[in-house]
Amino acid sequence: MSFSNLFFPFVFLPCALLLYGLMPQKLKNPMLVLISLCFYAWSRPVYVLLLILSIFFNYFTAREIEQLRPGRRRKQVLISGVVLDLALLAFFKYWGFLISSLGSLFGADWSVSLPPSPVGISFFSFSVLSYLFDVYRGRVRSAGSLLDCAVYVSFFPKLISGPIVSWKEFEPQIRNHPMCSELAFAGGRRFLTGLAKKVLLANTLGMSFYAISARNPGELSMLAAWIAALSYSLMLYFDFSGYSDMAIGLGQIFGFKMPENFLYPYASGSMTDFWRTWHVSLGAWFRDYVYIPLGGSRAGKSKTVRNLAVVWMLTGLWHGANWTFIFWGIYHGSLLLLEKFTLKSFAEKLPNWLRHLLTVLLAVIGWVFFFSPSLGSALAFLGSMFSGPISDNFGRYCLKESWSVLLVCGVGCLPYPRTIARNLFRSRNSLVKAVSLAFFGVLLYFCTAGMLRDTYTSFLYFQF
Amino acid sequence: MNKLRICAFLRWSAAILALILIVNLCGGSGTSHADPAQVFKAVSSELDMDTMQEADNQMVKRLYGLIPTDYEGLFLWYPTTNMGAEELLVVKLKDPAQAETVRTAVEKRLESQKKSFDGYGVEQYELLSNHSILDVRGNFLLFVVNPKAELAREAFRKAL
Repeated sequence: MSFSNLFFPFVFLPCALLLYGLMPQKLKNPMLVLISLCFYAWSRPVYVLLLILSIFFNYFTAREIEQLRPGRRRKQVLISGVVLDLALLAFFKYWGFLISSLGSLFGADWSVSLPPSPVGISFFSFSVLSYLFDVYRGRVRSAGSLLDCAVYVSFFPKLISGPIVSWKEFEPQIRNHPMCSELAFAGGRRFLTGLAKKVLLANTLGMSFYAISARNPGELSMLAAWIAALSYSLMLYFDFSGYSDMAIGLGQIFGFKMPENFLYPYASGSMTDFWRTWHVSLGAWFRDYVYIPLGGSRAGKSKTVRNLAVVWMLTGLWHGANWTFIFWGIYHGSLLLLEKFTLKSFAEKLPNWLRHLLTVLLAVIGWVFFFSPSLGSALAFLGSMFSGPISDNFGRYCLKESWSVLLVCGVGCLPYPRTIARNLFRSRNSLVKAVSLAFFGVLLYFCTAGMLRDTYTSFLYFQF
Repeated sequence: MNKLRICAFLRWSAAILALILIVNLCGGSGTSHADPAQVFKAVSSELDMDTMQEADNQMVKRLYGLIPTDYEGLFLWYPTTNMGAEELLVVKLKDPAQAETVRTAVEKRLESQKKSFDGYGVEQYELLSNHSILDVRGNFLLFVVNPKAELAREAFRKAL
């Protein structure tokens, strides 16, 4: 089920809130798990069994780890847990890719029969992995009950596309997440903001991007190729940050606080800053469970290079089983290494506006690998961005159609609109408050119209 | 010690059950290496294609919100007139994970078509309600709205 499908905000969510609200305190968490499982089962019921079994497996693994004394046996239990969680992820996401890649290495057409991937498997697998690691390290206690573990893993706002919340952050809230009108109101506003980002901005940007990308990438003019690349870069931001806003807002409605996932990445002045502000929860996961355990940046230059290379290969691979994602990971890893060891002092001397511009430019080039179906197609697209005819009729037509939405989104991805909105809501002036409330009413109207108009458009990050 | 044994027993039971579930899932959804064009040809030969026209990439995006280049093969034929409801979609997925996106897109399209004809297009509504089939077989997906939908499904399954 998608948050931006009319059914969710107008049927599923009100019913879920009603059922949850009617439950006595003791039954609120069981109801929350039931709602989450229904949400997950909506499109493919069989996978809810897999989710339940994963909850069981990880709950009892963590309990066993906690009860054992530090030593070999404890480590074995952790390893068996991690291996099985990774095996589940690898089977659904990477097995087909691995076999076909091996086949092409030997010039054969090898492929395997695989069922469709469970939605959100990358996200909930990372949640349970962090849980096992933290229990093993003694940083947290294991879940007090199976129900607590089920609330953590299955909580529906974050289940399908994050944010990836650690057990440490989530656990204190499980027993104490009172719903209050103020928080619910803020959550509702946040949900609506996310919905507007997806329905009004990302989907509109998608129209120009898909119109251009449907053409042969090698035959595009520079103008058309740049419009497509910029449209995709902004679309991906508004799509995924919109989803994160909706997830955080829904969490607030049910009394949970979840971490921010996007902190205006396109306002960054370096690639390091960009990755500190884009998909924050995934970056934090790789930092805490891969980079730092490998030694981070404290084990000398060569090991830092190795550690960053490992992290970025895995980050690329996490996004999908395709060479384009792996290359995209290598591209960003290389940029970060260059920035860290070679270009830092040079970049610091550049004026701020130029650093921001270069960061956006490098990120946009990276997204070309992200959206291209193959490496050849990505290189052809980049060729069109930097060579060939500057513009043609099609490019000029696309510019005429999309300049306004690109401008709105270009400003919208910076911090200023949110600062203005916050100040408006903090205002004690009743007229200002009434106007800002009316604004959200209008936003809801346009979002509903947008959802009615659009055929189904999935969230881009659902595929990961 | 007892507690430890119970935990170990329960977690391995969960792991074994998950394995059985996955084996079952694999058995029910094998990947086909069939050429999507051949599958489409086999299906369309069972139907009267005069009431439909071929959709270009833009039209696929407009009607279903799908991008044809994301798939190994995608063939969509849609009604030649606004009063038509017959439709045929054959998709070969690149990755089984795409099945969910396409399935939801099809369900949304069917729902939207039903809404369009509800109340005034009795025949079309009947066709959409009782003669529409969505069939997902491994990496292939068929959606057909046609009086001969059942025949199309048989041809689809045979062609895989």
